[in-house]
Parts: sequence; C-alpha cells; structure tokens
Amino acid sequence: MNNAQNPIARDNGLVVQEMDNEVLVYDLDSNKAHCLNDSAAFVWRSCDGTNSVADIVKEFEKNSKGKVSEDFVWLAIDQLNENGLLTSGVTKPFAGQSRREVLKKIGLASLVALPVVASLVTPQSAMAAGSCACPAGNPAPCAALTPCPNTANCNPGGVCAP
Amino acid sequence: MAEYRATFRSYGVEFSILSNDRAILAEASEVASHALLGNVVEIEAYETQHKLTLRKVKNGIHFKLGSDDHGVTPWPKLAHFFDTCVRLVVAEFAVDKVFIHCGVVVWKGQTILFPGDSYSGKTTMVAEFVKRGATYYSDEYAIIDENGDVHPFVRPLSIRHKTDFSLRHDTPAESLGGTLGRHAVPVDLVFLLQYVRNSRFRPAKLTAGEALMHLMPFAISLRSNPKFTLLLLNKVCDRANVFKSNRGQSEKVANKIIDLIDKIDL
Repeated sequence: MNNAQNPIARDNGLVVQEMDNEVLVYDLDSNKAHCLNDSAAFVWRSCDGTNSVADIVKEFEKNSKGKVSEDFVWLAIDQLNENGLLTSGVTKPFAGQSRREVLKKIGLASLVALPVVASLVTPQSAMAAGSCACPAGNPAPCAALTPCPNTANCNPGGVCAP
Repeated sequence: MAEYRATFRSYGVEFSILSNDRAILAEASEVASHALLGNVVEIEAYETQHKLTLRKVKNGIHFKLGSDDHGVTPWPKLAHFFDTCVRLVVAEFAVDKVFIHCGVVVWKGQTILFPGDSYSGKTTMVAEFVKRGATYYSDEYAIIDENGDVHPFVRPLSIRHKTDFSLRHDTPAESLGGTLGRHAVPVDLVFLLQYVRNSRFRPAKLTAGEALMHLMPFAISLRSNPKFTLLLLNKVCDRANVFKSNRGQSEKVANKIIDLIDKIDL
C-alpha cells in the first residue's frame, strides 16, 4: 500500500533510455535531460510509493550494490526531487546542512558510488537546435533561437548575428 | 487566386511548397533541391503534413512554415532562410534516421563527430581535418541510421568570413585537399568542443550516459520523436569515445586530436 511519506517516481511526460550503468531521463515538460548514475537510478526505480527509505536501503544492499545509509538514499531522493523526477515534494531530512556537507559526510563513509543526477537543458524547438538563420529584415525569429548570438536583429545576410 | 503546389519526398519526409506565383514556386523548388543536396524526389502533389507557403504580396514574399508566420521578406533575402527551413523540416521528421547538428570527418579510419550549434566552429574544425587530407562527411549534419552509423551529407563547406559572420562562401572539400565520404560508417569519436579564447584543450572522457545527455541538444528530432532519437543516440554513445573540452585555436586543437588518436587505444 502507498504511504504518503514514501517517495514515488514520476512516470508521465518522461522518456527513459536505459543504459549499462546509467539511466537517461528526458523530461518533455521541462525540456531537461537527466543522467542518473547507477546508484541514483536504483533509488529512482525503487521509489514506488510502497518502499520507505529504510526499505530502499535494504533493497540496495540486497542487490549487492554495497552497504549504504539512509542519508545516502536521501541524498539521491533530494536530487531526484529537485529535478522533478518524483511525483510530489519530499521533505529532505538534512536539517541545517547543505548538500555539500552531507555529500562530504556520506562520501567519506561510503564505498559505493554516490548517487548523482546530472542535468542539462535542451532546446525547445528544432529551429533553435539547428540554426541561427532568419528571414532578413524580420527580427522576430532571432529572439527565439536560444543558442544563437544574443541579438534581436536579423542581419542582411539572413542570420541572427552580433 | 491561383495556387501552385510542388510536393517532394526526402529521407522519407513528404513536404509541399505552395505559392500563388509560378516563378517563385520554381525558384523555391530549386532551393529545396539544393538544400537537400539533390536527395529529394518530386512526387504527385497532394495534401502533406508539412507545408511551406510562399505568397507573393506587394512588398515581397509572405512566408509561412506550417502555421508559423515568418512575415514578408523580399525573395532573394528570404531564400537562405527558406533553404534552412526545408532542411530542418526534413531533419526533424526524417524516417528511420536521426539528424544531429554536427561536423563529421573520417581521419585514418576513425570517424569523428564535432557536435555544435551555429557559430560554434564546427566547419572550422572540419576544415582543419579536411586540409590535412581527411575524408569529408558533413559540416552540418551527422545523419545516423538504425545501426548507429553515420551517412555522408557532403555539401560544400560553408566557411564564414573571419570578421563578418553573415558572409560565407561555399568551399568544396576537394579544393581543401580532402576526399568525399560515400558510405555509412560507425562513429568512433565525438568531441564536444566549446570555443573559449586562449583556452587549453583538455579532453575529459564522458560516460555513455553523460555523452548521450550532451548530444541530445544537437539532435533535431529530439522534440518530435524523442524515444527514437534517444535510441539512436544511445547506439552512437555505446560505441564511441566521447570527449568534452574547451578549445582555443582550431589548428592547434586539430593537431592535439590527431595526437590523441595516435596515442589512445581505440
């Protein structure tokens, strides 16, 4: 049975690509790509609403991924939550401590790779991904082409350029 | 008002060009064929999902790509943008292939990708290798098939003027000393390079997941077909060594990449 306190992995609006020791998650709503290392991916998959943090610790160890603490799992949950990969906000228990401090504390004690979620914003449209071209004399498209030089003017050569 | 239409198929994508002016339609059709390097066939005209509409009006041509209104521009100036739009439509919706915004060369049997946005220096890096005798595949797109192999898209290198980026000239790879790629080849190396003046080239090898994440922004079909796009990018990342680094002058970086290829066990 689901417990409101237990974390639940989000499954809507995501495209998931499984890899050997990582999982790539593409969030269609936020246009962000997230790379979960093996530890973070395991925790994410375990967030089914029935598993508590203590259960996830047990599952982690049962799957021969090494001995970890609840703080270790919370560290993963904190990052998953921050990146919108859980269905509802989860209150992190690291009262008064920064993630850096927690990382340091867990990192020194852990032989297992710390959970890491790396993220990157992706372009909103194919046009933005592909080109800085624009119809000469018409400034409108330049502002939408995020990777292009920061200008609102389409030059006579038909490119958004400084 | 009369409406003229030409319908084409390229890389499995069917698109129509519509105009109220027969001459504009003919010119636009020629631009489209040129944009796709002749990989385009005219098919029987009918309703297609992708429409590029060029309506001749008093001050120029009113251009619409689907429902996106790009306003009125005189035709010669609009032609370059139209050319880009045609390529992007095909690149975004290509069947069984994923187009990545990339420069591609083959150097001593190693296929190298240089992903990048416009102005990131893809063509500059490609040109450095072509000058050294590399086989040229593309300065714009890596066209990836279902095996993860890259196909040639050998348009002339579009080399920008050193000070005025709006000026560029088409330079055939052969005139720089290179040869043209003709067959699909597996990808061996990917260099994600960011130009930073006077920076040192310090390549950091990415994990397959990191590599996939960093390649995603350059895949044209990411929004329209994310699942298939990730599947094919994964095939590239699964096989290739992917490095990320800042870079300074292209000539020096090309030499360092060549040294790296000679040193590392690929």
